[in-house]
Amino acid sequence: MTRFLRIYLLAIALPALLLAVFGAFLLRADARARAAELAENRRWRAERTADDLQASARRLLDARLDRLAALPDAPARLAALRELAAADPYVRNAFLWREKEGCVWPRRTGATEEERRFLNRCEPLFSGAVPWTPPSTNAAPSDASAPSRGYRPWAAGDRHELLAWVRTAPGEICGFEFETMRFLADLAADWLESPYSQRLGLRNTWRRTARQSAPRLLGSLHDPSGTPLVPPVADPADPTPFDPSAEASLLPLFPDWHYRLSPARDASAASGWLPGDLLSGALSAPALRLAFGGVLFGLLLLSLVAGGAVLLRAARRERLDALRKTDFVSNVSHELRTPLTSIRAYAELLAADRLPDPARRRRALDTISAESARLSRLVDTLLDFSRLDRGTRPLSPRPLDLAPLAAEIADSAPSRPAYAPPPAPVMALADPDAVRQIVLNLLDNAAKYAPGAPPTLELAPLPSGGATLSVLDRGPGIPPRDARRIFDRFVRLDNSTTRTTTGYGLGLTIARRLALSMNATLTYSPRSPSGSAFTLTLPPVPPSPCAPPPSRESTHNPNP
Amino acid sequence: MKIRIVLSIVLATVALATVAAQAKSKPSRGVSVAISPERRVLAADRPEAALVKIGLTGAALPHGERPAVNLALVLDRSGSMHGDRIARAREAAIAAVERLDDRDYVSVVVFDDRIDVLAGAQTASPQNKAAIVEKLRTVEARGSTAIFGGVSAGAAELRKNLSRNLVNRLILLSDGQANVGPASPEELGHLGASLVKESITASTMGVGLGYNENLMAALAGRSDGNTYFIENSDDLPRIFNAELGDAFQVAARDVRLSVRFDGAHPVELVGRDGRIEDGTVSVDFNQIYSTQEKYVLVRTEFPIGRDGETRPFATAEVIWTAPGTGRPGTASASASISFSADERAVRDSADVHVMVQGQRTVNAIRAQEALRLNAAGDYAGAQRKMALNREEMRQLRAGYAPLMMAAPEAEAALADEESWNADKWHAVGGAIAPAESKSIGTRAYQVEFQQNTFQEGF
Repeated sequence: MTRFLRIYLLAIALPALLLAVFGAFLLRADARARAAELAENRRWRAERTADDLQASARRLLDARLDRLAALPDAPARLAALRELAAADPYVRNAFLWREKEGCVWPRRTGATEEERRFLNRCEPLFSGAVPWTPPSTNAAPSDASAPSRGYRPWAAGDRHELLAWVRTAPGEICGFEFETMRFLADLAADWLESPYSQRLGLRNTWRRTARQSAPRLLGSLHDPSGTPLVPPVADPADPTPFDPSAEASLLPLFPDWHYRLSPARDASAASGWLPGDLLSGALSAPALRLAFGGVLFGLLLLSLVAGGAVLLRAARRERLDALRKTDFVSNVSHELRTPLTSIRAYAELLAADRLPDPARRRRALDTISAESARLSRLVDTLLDFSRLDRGTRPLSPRPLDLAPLAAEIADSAPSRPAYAPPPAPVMALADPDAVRQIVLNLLDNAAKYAPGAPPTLELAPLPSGGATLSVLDRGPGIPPRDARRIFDRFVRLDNSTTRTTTGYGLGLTIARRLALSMNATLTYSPRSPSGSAFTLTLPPVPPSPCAPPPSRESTHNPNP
Repeated sequence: MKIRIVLSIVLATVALATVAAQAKSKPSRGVSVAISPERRVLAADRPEAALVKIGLTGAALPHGERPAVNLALVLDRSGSMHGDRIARAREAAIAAVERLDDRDYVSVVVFDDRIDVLAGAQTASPQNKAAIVEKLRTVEARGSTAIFGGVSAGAAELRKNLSRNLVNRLILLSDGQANVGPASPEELGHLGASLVKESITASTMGVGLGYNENLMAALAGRSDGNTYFIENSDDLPRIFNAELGDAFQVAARDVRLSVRFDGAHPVELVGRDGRIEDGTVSVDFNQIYSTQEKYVLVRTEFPIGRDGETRPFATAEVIWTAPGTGRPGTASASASISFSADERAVRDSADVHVMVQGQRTVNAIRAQEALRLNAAGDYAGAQRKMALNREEMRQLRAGYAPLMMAAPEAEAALADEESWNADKWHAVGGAIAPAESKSIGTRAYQVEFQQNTFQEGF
């Protein structure tokens, strides 16, 4: 038995465990690969968003450059530049520059303070010390091939300003200084409306509303030192650093700005026990296959274990049954041999005329007679059992009053049980012979196992109809762990041949089968502080119009 | 001799009358403009320079009439506002909201390191106001200070109802150093300069001693708004009221002044910034308040004039938009200048009002320089600046005593300026307390931009 279990464990459970560990290892490796892939994906998204932000700025710049480029002559351009500087919120300063003359407008004298600062800032450009196009990009430094427009981040102090310019005539450049603060203010206000970056592919995706699906990524702009430019930002109480892999610079337009993506940190954004990226269908195909395979394998393993368990249980039952049968045979042999031995011994004594004393002869004959009766009871029981086992003994339950029957049984039982007859007839549907046999058997058991005091027989009607007939004793009772088995075939709690009580473990089995044959139940319950209670619960009389009323039945047709 | 004196007096009288007649602007409902040189008569036969004031005065609004406002309150609720300040700020904001009515739009933004649009732009109907007041009551202090983000959000709310017919005003209240987002006076100034192009004016209120007055002044200055230093939070409701009163008093919006100088050469602007191009001075004002004068001071050089000559030298043209109706308006004025060989006639022609205003503006600019020197540790340099102020005021008083006596308003303003300078003289002589620094800086700004300060009358 235990060896079988050990083999089973070694053969199936251990390999399964190994496989499970291997599977877990694979899953972990995949999760790592997945995390790396997600980080890469986030970085990619950050880069696209950075591009997108620059595209937004470029649209603003280009619209103005287009307008300037389309103007016919210098006075018109100058008027347009004045208007840009005076009224365009996205323009900080505008300028008109000529190759030989330098900055034609604004002039330093009479300029506003802002313009003077602007002229100082961009002095190298306006004086011609620095070319308008960075030297790295132009292939041939001729006027014709020089780009006709450009954007020029210009370092001013610790910051960069952004210049946009267009070549409106040979040697003439119109342009303006972008108001980056206004652009940033726009971003800040937009950010406020939807701080969560979402799928790309659309224009201005950095401000798409994205509250509907996980994962939510928080976009933010930072200067090179990591100070946020645009809220919302990390909770200062939360020191978790931003994932540096999800950062993209806004080169070339805004060298000072970095766009960062980080998973939303607020609790309300959490989508449950799975990371958002898994929920959004981002789980990789191999991982999915692996997980599916794992589930299948698990199911297989489970069915294997379940099947094994069922087989094992059946085998164990068979073995127990066989053991019980062997027990039964030896019990029966023992039981049969004991009276036979007595009969044979006395018969031989009588035959040899070795008992001259008539009293002793008489006793021997009595013994032979008693033992024969016991033998015949044993055989009857065996026959009963085999009939019951095959289901051939017919029972005919009918409505009857149990009170006289109980009284008769109490009178006839050798154990002389205490019995208090109920005040009124107790009607139930029962077979009187079966009831007698069951109760006698129970009383017999009580006398056998609780010899100290006579058992009690109790008859009680049930409130819902029917009745209970109980045999109570004050013996040692049945150990709780055995209580379940007592109705099984061939079970005797003490299987030793040296036991003090007789029987072959069929009494309770027969009793229960008889009870079941007439739709009754036989149950055991322990008594407090000690003792056993066997209760036969009989079904009520069905309310049938043709059936005689119960009271008449009990009075006029008492049971034998 | 006698004849010369009589002649010069006659000449001076004539000249005065001419200037007075010519400088008088056409009557107008929105804004009137006047050109006043600091002396109406200049010395003949030598190059002369004088300060010329171009003053814009908003017409009195008819009784009970006021323009509709589009107001954004941007309130700091950073941790430093904890306690009394946030309570007063709440109170002040609630009182401000209560003063609005159905004509107006209102929005409330609160910020710390995060920005919350407490109330998006909406009409100030009684129900809306009740809801906003309810929300304002829940504002508690926490977090750090994202001024840039707060102002951005407030401006975005204003833009939702941006209209030429409204007074678009953002009121920023903060007590802290901006530590999230752009935080330099220059950057906030750029933002202010951009806002003014959309007719948005940002007024700033610094509470306590922890905020950056330069940043607050730059934002207000570049957007033509007011700035206030509120040392005691008990003053908050009063100042909110005054600021809102200002907004209600807007007589003209998007005011563009251009002054063409013929026969004179504008050299530089003193105080308020503007552009000088081909002899034309152009200055933009976001708004002119009713019955309040805003002015531009131009240091002007005059070519040599002959004794007795009178010639026109400047024509001012101002165009504006009337709030409420959105109708454009214009006004113009011109001025002449006379020349005399008589020193007394020259001196007696002085307009002490202009002189005192000019001196106050120069003082304010020097006070800001003194603050910078002081911050750099150059206490002696700071004191020299303040001493120069005192010396110039002494000369002004000595040179024009009789005229001063005749102009009590100018006299009072000068006296106020003198006592203030005397008061701050010691302050800038050493390490300066934040309260002093803020009060000097804010006052300098208020003088430079002719803010209608309720603390001091001028």
